[in-house]
Amino acid sequence: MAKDVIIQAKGLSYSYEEDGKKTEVLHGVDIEIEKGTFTAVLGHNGSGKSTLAKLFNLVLTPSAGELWLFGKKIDEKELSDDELYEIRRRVGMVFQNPDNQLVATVVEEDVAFGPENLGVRPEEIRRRVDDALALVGMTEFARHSPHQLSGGQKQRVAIAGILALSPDVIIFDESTAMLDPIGRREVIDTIKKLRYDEGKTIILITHYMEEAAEADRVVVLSDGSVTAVGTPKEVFSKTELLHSAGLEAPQITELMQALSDAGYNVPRDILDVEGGAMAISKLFGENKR
Amino acid sequence: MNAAQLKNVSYIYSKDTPFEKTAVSGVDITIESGLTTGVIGHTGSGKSTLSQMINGLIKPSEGEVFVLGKNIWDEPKKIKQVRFRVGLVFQYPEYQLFEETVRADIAFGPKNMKLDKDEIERRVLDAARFVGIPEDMLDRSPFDLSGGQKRRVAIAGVIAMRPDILILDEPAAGLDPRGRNEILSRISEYKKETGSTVVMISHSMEDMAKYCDKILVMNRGKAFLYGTPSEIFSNAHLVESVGLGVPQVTRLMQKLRDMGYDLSPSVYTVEDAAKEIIRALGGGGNAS
Repeated sequence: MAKDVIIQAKGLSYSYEEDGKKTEVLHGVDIEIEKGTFTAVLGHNGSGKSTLAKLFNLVLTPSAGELWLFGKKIDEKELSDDELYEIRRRVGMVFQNPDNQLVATVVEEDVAFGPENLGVRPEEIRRRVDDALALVGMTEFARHSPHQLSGGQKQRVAIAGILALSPDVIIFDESTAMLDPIGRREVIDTIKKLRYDEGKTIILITHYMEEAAEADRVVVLSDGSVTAVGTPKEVFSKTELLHSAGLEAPQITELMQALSDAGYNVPRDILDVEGGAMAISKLFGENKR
Repeated sequence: MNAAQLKNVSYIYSKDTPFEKTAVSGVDITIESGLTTGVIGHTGSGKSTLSQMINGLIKPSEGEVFVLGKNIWDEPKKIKQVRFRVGLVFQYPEYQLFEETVRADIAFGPKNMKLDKDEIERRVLDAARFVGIPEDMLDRSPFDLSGGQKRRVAIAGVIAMRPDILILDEPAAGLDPRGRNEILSRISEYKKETGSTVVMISHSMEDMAKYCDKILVMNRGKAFLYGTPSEIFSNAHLVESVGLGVPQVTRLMQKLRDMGYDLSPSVYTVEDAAKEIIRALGGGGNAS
């Protein structure tokens, strides 16, 4: 069966001009995102991650290359306003700062903001708001004021606001960067639920390796180019490539490679504590003989 | 020598109202001079309240705060002097830049200290050098800089006051690994070069392990653990019991110990873990 590609970038570039100086942020990026998958995009600050996200939901227009969304080649000059808004509805975005995304004084009103603007009927809005809040586990806070919530809870409300628009794709642009470890966990658990239970296509832009480790695929961006694509295991075992992209591999992976470099027989692509403990305990076993 | 001492300090927000909340309760610790002390804990554990008490921004509800041997609330009218000696860099300080040029922004603190012009200029250059802001950037608008650069300018503004104690609330939050290491290693160089005392609040145990001489773990307003990184991480299960993570390699060593292998529990960097495992395997390379 053919792959169901929901987003495809072919040689996508983006540059902007300022004071007569041209700066290219993305150079000929090729990416395929399959429907219903969870892709993590890793890269240092300024690598072009957020620019890529903004191209995907048509906030920015590429300077070269092709963008295909939902099986159609996008030509922004030919899109009507309605078609443009429809694509933005289908490709939702959640941003970094939880405080900048909530507009209403009551949680459920905030979630209703999007569908209200689309002219959705009131009873349908009610249903969508209830469903969205239930999905992110915030039902009991429906009538709370957003400013009393923790960072993680605010982000979940922001996610509910996007869900109420029934998007196919949700892009998280460093949505965990400003949260504490508990808040990050809450958001990642919500993301996994959306991917596995709701069939949403997820793109997570992050620089936390342990978050990317939970994705189906990892894309590494460095200075505007894709430098690696693969499963977390495939990408994280390339520690040198990660370092040159300003990133770090998980500690366990680095440890396994240090042991392997010292001549010990351990796999170089282990990402987690359990796998590491097994490999090392095997070493001790071999040593006794 | 102690840089700061907290004697049985508590802080209660909105005291005697229905919203009363104890943020810090009975904390009794000494912050040593010339060290980097890390403070870690959940949101709401009292870390930020604690740091604001050290610089006299808020007054403890109970207990006493000593900075360089002096009770800071003995003369409440002179509390401003304490704030010059204990520099506090807030979370996301880049949102607090407001001047027209980077130079003016860094100079804001020293100006308030009523220093003369030459001294202010000297301090601005010095502070900019510490945080790695090149001189040709000083006349630009802070709003044209990248996020990481803005943060460094904001930190320079506090460093320029030459505080005896520099407190940073989550200095690396939201930065990528490269930006994080850049800022933290610059802070650690600043400490080495000037002999200042640094207090750093963070959520990242990995960063704490790498950059701090001592770590204070806060939990529900109390000082839960206090010691060197190896002391703290040899109590990995205690740290985890209050819901904080320990570095991945520390967890690995713990797990191997639970499986019966004789390994040190106080390992928290990749290099030390590799060395310790190789030692336990009884060899240097190519086990045979």
